[in-house]
Amino acid sequence: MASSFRDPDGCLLTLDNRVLRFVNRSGEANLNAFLASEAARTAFASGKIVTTYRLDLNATGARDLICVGAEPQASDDIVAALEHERITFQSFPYEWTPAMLFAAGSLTLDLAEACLSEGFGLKDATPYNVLFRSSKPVFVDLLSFERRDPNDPLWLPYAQFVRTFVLPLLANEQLGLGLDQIFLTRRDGLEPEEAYRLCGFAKRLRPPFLTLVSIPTWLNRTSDSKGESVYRQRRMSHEAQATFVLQRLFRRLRNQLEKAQPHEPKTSSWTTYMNSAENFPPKYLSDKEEFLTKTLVEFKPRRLLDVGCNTGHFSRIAAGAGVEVVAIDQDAHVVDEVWRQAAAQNLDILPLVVDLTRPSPAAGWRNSEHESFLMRAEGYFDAVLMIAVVHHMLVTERIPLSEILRLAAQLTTDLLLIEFVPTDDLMFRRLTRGREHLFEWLTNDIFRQACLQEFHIIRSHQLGATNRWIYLLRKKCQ
Amino acid sequence: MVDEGLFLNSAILTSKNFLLYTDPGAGSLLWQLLLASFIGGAFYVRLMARRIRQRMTSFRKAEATSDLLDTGTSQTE
Repeated sequence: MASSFRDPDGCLLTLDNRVLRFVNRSGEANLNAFLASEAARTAFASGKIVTTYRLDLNATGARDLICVGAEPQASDDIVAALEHERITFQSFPYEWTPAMLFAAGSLTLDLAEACLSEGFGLKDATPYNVLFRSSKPVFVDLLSFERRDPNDPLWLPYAQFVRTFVLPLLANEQLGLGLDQIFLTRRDGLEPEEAYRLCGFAKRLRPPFLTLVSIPTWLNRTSDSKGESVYRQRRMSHEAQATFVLQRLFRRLRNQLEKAQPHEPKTSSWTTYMNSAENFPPKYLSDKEEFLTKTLVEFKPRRLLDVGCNTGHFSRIAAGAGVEVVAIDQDAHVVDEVWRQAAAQNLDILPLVVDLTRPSPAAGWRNSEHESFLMRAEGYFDAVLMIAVVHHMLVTERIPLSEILRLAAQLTTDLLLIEFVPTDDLMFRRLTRGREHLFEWLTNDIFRQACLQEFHIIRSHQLGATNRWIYLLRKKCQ
Repeated sequence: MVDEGLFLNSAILTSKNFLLYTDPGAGSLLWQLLLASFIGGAFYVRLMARRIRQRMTSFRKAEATSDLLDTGTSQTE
């Protein structure tokens, strides 16, 4: 059971695979008005907002469940209950690629703009309001919509949007900060003051840093002397003028978001790996493809985790066979490529930047707001793919083979497809760099014996003319 | 000084404190106020320009109509 507790208008409860949202009296009018609006109908129809049903409050037994962590008076105050479609595999901004964060930011701006003409606004603008349904972003926080004062020319979440979307993208693109570095340690993104400290003198004076980072930092220094007056509401005399101002502010934010996003797919040593003939002797790749395809046809897994997915070649084969795929890799550039292709081809692939040797930890208050990657993954997948990845864990991370197989058995409920790479393999030798003696014990027989501790071997196959082998394993019953 | 000087052109009323949910970031809020002030001014400039254009158009139309009438009258004469 998990709950959210920051929003005074309601809270979220995850209970037995159901996602329930309870609405307080303070949020009821806004919610009803928004649900009746044309903007809401359009957003629901296009899948931009998570599918939601209204529940009979008394039938849910809600008052007995009510929100762990909510203020004591909140449970008496609940007036409505909603049930959201469950986005099956949750992901968080620290696991996204920059292109995914950009897509989430664009969706947030789309919705803020779309509901403006009907007199609604978003009261917050954070990537935590967005989840990814396969490769498509979907807005999940219905209580973010509120009626706005038609004469108010300001968008109050402007600063939060800059902190959590624009500055992280900019810091990633121009300062080389990873999204995990930003979001794992900061719930509310990167403050302009922090970005200011990271910039050199020249950068501070150049756009877009000048208006996004430097001017807000300088103005912030003067704001202390103004006290509370800074936070007074400003109203314009004409509604049309306030709407005109907001439209221009949104347009400006969109331009800044677009300028901050990575424009061309970045390359790393792994982005070209699949294109290098040196890595793929004759029949090696086609044997693996055939082995995977045969497995997919024969066992029809429903959910597959592709560990070390690289540019997603095998993920796309699985998704093409109707399997829901979560593809992970530690290299953000290759994951970015997987996301671009999955989004363009509308494939059921959720690509995430996750290193299985140090997976995302649980985060937030009491480590209970965002589950760790392993907590989310355990028991979710009925097939795990570990193709050409085990030797990286063994050599680079020095994880014992038995531990790798134990984790694989924890992640899959049924099948494991795993590749054995021998110590005399070119790729293996590239990784060991003079440490070959540490792995002299590793032979195909030892690998097979280790697999048998946790799994039954269904079949194995030598790949082309190499000494590499691929195994299809079935988890032993506990 | 920044926010006091804002919105001269847009008759801003300072009424009450915001009912804030997220941290508005004082520096970012002031920057947004500055932007809103400039854009609000641009709104009036556009409005004025449109009115002047409309006036000019209606003036030209009226002139053209009177010219036509004049021409018609002289031809009749």
